[in-house]
Amino acid sequence: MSVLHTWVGVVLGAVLFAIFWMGTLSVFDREIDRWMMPETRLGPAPSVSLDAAARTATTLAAGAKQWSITLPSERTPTLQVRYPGPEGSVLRHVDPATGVALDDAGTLGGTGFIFPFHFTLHLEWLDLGLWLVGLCGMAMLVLVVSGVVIHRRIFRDFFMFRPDKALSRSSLDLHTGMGVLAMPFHFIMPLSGLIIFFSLFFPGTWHAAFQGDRAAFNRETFGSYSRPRANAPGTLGSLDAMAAEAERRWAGGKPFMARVLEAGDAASVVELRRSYANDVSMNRDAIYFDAASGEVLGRFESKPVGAVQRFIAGMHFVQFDHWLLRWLYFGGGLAGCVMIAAGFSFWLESRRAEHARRGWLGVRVVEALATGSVTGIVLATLAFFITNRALPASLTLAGFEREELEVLAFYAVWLTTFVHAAWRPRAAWGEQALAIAVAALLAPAANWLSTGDHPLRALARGAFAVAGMDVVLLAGAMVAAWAARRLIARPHARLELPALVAPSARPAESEAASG
Amino acid sequence: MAETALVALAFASSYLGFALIALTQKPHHGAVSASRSRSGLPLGTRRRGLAFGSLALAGSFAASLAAEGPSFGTILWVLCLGSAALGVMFTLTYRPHWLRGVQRALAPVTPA
Repeated sequence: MSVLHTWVGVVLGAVLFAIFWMGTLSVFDREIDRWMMPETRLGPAPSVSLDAAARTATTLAAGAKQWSITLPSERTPTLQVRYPGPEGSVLRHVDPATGVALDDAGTLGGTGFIFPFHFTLHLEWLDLGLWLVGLCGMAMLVLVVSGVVIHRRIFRDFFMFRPDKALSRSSLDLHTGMGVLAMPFHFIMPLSGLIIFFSLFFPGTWHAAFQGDRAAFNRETFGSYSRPRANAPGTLGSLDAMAAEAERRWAGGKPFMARVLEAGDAASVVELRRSYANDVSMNRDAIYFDAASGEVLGRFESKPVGAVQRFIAGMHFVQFDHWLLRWLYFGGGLAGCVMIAAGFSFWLESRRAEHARRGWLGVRVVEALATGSVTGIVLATLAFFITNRALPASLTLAGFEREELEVLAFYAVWLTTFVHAAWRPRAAWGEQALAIAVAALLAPAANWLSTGDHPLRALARGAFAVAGMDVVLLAGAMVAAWAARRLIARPHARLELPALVAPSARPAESEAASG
Repeated sequence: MAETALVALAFASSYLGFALIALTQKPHHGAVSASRSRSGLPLGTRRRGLAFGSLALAGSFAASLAAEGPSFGTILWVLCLGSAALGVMFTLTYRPHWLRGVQRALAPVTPA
């Protein structure tokens, strides 16, 4: 079990950290959107008439076969119109007060980059990222269980943290402390993540139940209604009247989204989806109306097994309006990040001396990998934020739009941190922590300079998402500066081993750098 | 307002529960009282600590449920437990004397 825990942890730890980090940030993906898309920093949304919204949508999505409108919410104060464009789905933010479409934000933001990174790693080829994340989810469950089994003094060391002991000891304390005390979170998150993608990861379940009939499975599980086009022009009736009918049938439940299928056709259908802002469960309740007459054509509600899956998914996605829980999820995610980082630290510190003596590469390679994947991804994320606030939205550089430049900055910085970590083993931790501290100060400064929103002004005008993001960045800068000071002041003389600087270690160094 | 108070109670109660449980353990007991005494804790005190500690954790669950209902309440309780336990861990590391009051409440007689 110990061997299993160690190997799974060391091999997948880097990817696990990326998943945990991006998942932690995804808890506040919409707040990150507000910060990265200043055009959308609107005040609390007025109540919007669906018919007025539909008029805006039909102008924006003229000629599109289908379009949808998502109503403004506490976290996203804009009206969002989606329709298929020539290069995939188009999303336009509309000011709900004026009905005017806002300029393209020129960024993927939290919902477009950070959130998908959490479960696809942006490796789209053969769905490789999704499968890798699935593997990591499974591995995380194995790690939690094996971790409990190999923890010899789980009860005696339950609350034990001894930062003044040797680094290997204090790292292990921190690793087990964060792991054991937040264990329900570390277990439920990967498990619910796997359950969200059950149809991909466990296709046998629906294959068996539906004899491989994907369409029937989708209809029964997710609900879908379609009818053939009439190929004759049709009209769109009052969406507000349909919404009133939906609210009556949902006993007060409100729609959050309206989708128009086969828009403009005589057989056009309007789908209203029920809001889940006040429930844990992300329901898939929908009512389908005839677009012209507003007559109800069908209604979908999850069956019992589906409803359980939606509850578990809702528990993972945190799409409900509950700020305390949102912050607790954020804290749980950070605890997971600390757990992984401390696990790496323990592995490295307890092997450093032996590997150096025997001339083994293990510590060198794992340390470069660990540094780049822990401090490196944090730095890369900050580079993503800073690029967003430092460059104008309309800028095109060397054929790249700003949206692409932000992503480019992320990967360029991330790659550099791995090279840096390989080049300066051990010292890289402190140096990258220092860089994080500087970058986390630069990001709010760039926000201030580019939008005039410093945290106090943002607070005063009710832009809590922006103020919150700045404050978290500033707090992060302080933590990073403190960590950097400790890491750089670390008594190297005592810990640095002669074998690492001896000529015999030189080949190892270059190999580690290339690996 | 009542809901906020219940949520605060849920947090306070889990923190207290974990503090009581931690104080039944010799190293933490010693760190809090800052005594050099090497003697173990009396069995009665340990049992009492575990019993009241568990009761406080259960009370925290009840407060969570009362504040937020079964689905949000359960999630809140689980996350509340984790944060309270980490809170106790860091208190024991950096400010153990904060828990002296809890310890005194637990002790049957004033130590000599």
